[in-house]
Amino acid sequence: MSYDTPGDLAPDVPPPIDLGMVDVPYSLDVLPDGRESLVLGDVSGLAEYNHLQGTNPDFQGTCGLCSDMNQLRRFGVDVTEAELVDYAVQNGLCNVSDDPTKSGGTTPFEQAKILSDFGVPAHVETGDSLEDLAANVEQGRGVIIEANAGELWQDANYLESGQYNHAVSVTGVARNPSNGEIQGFFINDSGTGESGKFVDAATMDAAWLQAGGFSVVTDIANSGRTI
Amino acid sequence: MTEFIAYEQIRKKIATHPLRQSEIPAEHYVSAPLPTLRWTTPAYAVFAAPAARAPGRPLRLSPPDRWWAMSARRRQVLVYAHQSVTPYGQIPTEAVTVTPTGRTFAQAKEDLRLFDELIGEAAPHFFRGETGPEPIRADVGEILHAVLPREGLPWFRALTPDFFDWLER
Repeated sequence: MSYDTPGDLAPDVPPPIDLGMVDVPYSLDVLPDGRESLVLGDVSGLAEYNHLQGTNPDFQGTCGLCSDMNQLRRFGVDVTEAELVDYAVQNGLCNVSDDPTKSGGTTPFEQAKILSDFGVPAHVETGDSLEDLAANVEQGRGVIIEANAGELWQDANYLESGQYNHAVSVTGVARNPSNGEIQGFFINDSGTGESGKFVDAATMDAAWLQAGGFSVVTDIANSGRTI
Repeated sequence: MTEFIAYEQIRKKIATHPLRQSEIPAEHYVSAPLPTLRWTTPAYAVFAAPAARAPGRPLRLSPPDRWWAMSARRRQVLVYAHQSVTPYGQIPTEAVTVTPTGRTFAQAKEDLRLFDELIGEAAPHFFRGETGPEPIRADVGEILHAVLPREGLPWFRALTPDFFDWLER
């Protein structure tokens, strides 16, 4: 296996992972903390699909729906947050609270159902390790994780009881070029509007794995093939 | 033979139960499980409430709209209900804004770890109908007020009134 496309790795760099299983672009890069990294995934390309939630003033608890929107647009389905909210409300696929600012919440199963209804079949998975999460991203699947916002944002106000309380899209994996070890992940976060944000492995472990390890994963990959 | 399931396992079971994935929106606030004997059998009860979060702004909670309880012995859901159909008690119906505690992120994580440890120690005494060591009850009372949102305490009290009564004996 060579690293001739599309990254810039020197030919003498040993392959850290089996790139035969990788269905996404990869390249050498430097992480925000200065570490050299092999980045797998079209992090910058997928960043354009991120969307700061809350454009519909009556439904602001829409991180799950915005993550769905992120995935749908990635797979070529052009849909707005308002259209997704409307579909979810009409079909009983989101929470409608007395307080509209807290409406729009979705369960992982509802997120998967909405993706499937819009032509991107998806399912809910429980991951046992960060490698499970990385494998889905590296296969080019669309991945939404159910995570704890306090851990992701390092914000004590949202740690709550430690359960998942937020949904974000995972767009890339960072691996140590010399041994393949996972250094972290890249996410699009509709809650902050941050795109391609790096989350180190320890934080992802606490935010996602320790909060249950649930993901909504598409059955199809970037290439359009069904896995 | 272990009489009651360890609190850490109960917490994990509640967080990963299919009920959580299929019925409770990801964005909801889910309360920490608290012990209760209100249904005669030892159980842990939880409520979920619609929530709004934005970085740098305080957590905002609507009143709980659903609740459930899991057996402390058999990892089974004993009851799940929507508050509008089967209310668990008379609760304040106003939304609240949770005042930030001023704790750092690291302190808040340590508080949560201590909360788990202390509830885990106290719950078996409570379930057996024992008074239990006074220092444990005092420590649990203290950590409850550190971890649970102060503005939402009436919702917790209404869910497991017997446990709060036990703590305050």
